[in-house]
Amino acid sequence: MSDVPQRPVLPRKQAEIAFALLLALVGGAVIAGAREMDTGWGGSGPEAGYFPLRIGIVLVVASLAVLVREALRPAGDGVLIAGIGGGRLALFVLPLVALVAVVPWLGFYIAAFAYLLVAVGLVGRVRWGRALAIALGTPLVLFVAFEYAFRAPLPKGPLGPLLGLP
Amino acid sequence: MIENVAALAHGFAVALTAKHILFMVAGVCFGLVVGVLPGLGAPNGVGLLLPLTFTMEPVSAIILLTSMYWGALIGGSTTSILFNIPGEPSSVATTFDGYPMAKSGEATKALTFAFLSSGFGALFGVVVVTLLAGWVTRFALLFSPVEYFAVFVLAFASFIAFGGGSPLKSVVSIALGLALASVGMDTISGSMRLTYDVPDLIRGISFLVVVIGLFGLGELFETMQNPAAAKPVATRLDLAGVVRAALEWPRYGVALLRSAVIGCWMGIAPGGPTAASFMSYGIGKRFSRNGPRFGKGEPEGLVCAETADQSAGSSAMLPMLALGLPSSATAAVLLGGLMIWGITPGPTLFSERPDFVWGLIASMYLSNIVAVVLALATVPLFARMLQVPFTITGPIIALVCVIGAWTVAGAPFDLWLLLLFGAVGWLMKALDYPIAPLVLAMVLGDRTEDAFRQSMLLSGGKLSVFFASPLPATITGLALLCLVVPLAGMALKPRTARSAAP
Amino acid sequence: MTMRLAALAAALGLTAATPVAAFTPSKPVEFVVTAGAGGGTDIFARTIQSIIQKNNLVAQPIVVTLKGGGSGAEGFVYGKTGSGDAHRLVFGTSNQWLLPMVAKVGWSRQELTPVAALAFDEFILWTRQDAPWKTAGEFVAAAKAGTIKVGGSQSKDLDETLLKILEKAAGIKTTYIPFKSGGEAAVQLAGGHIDANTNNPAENVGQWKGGQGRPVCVFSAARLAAGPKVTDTMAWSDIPTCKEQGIPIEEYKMPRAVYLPPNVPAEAVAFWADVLEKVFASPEWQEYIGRTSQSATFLKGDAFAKFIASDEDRSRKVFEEQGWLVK
Repeated sequence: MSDVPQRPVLPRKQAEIAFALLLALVGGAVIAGAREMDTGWGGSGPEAGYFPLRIGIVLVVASLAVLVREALRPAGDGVLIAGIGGGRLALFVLPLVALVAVVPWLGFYIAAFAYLLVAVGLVGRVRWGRALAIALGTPLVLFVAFEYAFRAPLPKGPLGPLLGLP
Repeated sequence: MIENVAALAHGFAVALTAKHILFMVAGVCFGLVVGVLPGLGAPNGVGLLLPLTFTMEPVSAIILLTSMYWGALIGGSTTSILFNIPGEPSSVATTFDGYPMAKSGEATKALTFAFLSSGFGALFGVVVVTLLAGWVTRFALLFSPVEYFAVFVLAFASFIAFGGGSPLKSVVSIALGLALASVGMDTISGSMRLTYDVPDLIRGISFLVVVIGLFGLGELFETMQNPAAAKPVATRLDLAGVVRAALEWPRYGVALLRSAVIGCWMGIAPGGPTAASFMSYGIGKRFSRNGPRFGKGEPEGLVCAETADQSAGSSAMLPMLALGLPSSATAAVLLGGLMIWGITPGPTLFSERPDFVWGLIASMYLSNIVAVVLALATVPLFARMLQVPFTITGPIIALVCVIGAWTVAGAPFDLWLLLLFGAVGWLMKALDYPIAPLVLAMVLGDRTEDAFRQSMLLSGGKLSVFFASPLPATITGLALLCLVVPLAGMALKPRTARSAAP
Repeated sequence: MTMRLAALAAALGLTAATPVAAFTPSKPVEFVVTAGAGGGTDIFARTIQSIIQKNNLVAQPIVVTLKGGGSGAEGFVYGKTGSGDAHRLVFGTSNQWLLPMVAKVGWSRQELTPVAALAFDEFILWTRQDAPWKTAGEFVAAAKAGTIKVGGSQSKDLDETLLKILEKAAGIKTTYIPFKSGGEAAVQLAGGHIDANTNNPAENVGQWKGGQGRPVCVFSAARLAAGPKVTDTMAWSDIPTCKEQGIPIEEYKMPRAVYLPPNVPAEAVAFWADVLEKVFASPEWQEYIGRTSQSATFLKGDAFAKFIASDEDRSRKVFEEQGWLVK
């Protein structure tokens, strides 16, 4: 991850253009969605699609304007993600994405244990003993808080049948 | 007014029993915990305690539940300040300056200010409720959709017009917020909008999920990407720091008073606590000497947001009791409780159940003081959390964000939405898109549209209705003024600068 | 000897609880409310929860969750996804079968299992306190002469449907203004911003007591149950029915009902219908019915299915005329 230290990975100019383009696409989707409804001004005020259509148009126009402005601007040395930062970010985000992906199957408690073990121990390089304590302790505290104290049950996955719980 | 004071004295006699004081302390403690744990929040906490109150005296039940509410509101600002995660919509504006303060090592001061301002706002709201009970309900009845629309536009205008940043990017941010707000079922036509036949979009896009993503996760991503920001900050943790901050706090007297008045107005008007905190923040930014520093860790910004939030929350109790209109999700749960205890909100409630109403109002004085004292005592504990290395707190905060997003609707879809908005929040921040307008647009967007379309239905499609009677005309006029003055200021500035030069 | 014991046990009702493959909840039960906090459905569910807890009718704890997004669509879709899970009860009204007709909502009415209806909420034509009309006849005359603004909860929902039925029956035209809830419609009426609404009794009783709105007539075949006076001069039973005032609408009521997810075992449906019947028989339930001025009718099984079918037919006709049907 740190083989190209501090080399710009994503210059700011490109990032600006890409994000503005993305927003314009979202605006396009809003327009498309609004056109499924009546977008006119009826006998007693605006119909359901009236405002969404105009919001979509404003979004497209404004983000395209941002896009043009940024495209015309001379490329500065601004950087959105630098090599090391990008690597760190990826290492932080990937376990999180994995957590979100497995929660529906494994439930929160097992997923949280695995996630914390990876994120704190492996990525954070915290000593293993400590990492294990955190990875075990946090779900335990959450379990007591949500299942018993607050009666706001979280999905438990295979842990449920294992402990004879829902 | 005099008879109200007498009635209040009677209310204190009801509230000041050992049992009720115990309920207040227990309720506040429970509320603080619920408020601090994101994803639980005040509505869940109240809903959770509700079954316990089925067998209680109504006045005891409402004292327990409202005490929990005050505790949760105060506790909710803790996570906003320490981790940039607003637990309630109304504490979004608290993050604007609270989090930068905590980041620069002033967590103790930020928390102390937030709690004291909350307490001040709440007490101010209760005093207004006590003195003006009858007048306030009559005033609230004046509000038809036309006036609602005017109030929402005013809240919008006072915040947007005073915000900084690139105007073009602000427009993008607002439009995105409005688009997000219109997803789901449309109240006026009953049809589904922008759902693209995705079942998960039928319930709309949850404001809390978006906000936890934009603020909480977005901030984590930024911190991860920028190693310098990940260092734990040195904070003084002693109670002496709390006392020092508390002594400094009265300096913001003007801001406190102004924000409390704005909060009361929005609580009664009724725009709700979220709109109140944004509006107060926007107006503070415009009119305070410290305005230019708002958003960079200026204590006054924090004071503005917190005071207005709480004073709106407590003064909104009155329309709730007298009209049956809840101003927030929590108030709605409380309202359900009232019905189950056999109490019908309405204009006659004050004369029918004086013990209940005035006992509640008296308890609001006491439990808010209890809440502030208990919360202040926890400051050193919370500030200590900031000293744990980020490699440990980072993943735990991320986990807490995920749980917070889950508890909104219990849907895996929301977790993906959370990640998406985490990325969007990080990009918006890195590329200097202001996020606050998006949030405000999302909160007020669909309510403003509903009010507008209801007004059109009422008037038979005549736009002139917004200027047809004095109340909406005044509010709409103020809103337009808010929008025009800064623009005019901008237009005039270069000229004055030029003429000032020799 | 054994036979005599068995007979004794049967007489005491001891063996009644052991038919073959009986269902009992084995984990905490979720009550899904298809409406927002504090609304009629929320109170309906929480009242049942409190009665079950007080009388120990179910051994497992009960958690109430609010899923009111999209006019309750959120809750019904959530119920549908719990296929086969008899620990997830969905609380709603007739919107369970009405909503899929007028909006693309992600479930059809056959996809949930009806268990029972425990109450029928009434609809009353309320009008602002200072309105010139006193009777339904005068109201109709006023509507023929000018525009009458009627508020209600949501769009293409029960209130607006009733209004369309009323318009047709009385030969009038009105302006309908949808609000988020009946509570809002009550406050708007109290402020005199609208001329009338069709709220349930409980939604407008506070305003009635306070002299901020009065009832014209109730959309029911018979007058409401007599009880203590609500205002100085009137009790619920003093409100005339719309029919006796000359509006040809037999009755219009909203069931408060409980559903289960699809594909649940028949024993589970029977178990819950039985629990709900016990709730219905409790004094607390009668107290709730009286306080909210609903009518106490218990429907389950075929009777409930028949009711759904006939209500669906009547509503479909209205929706068809209004052009509200989707697809």
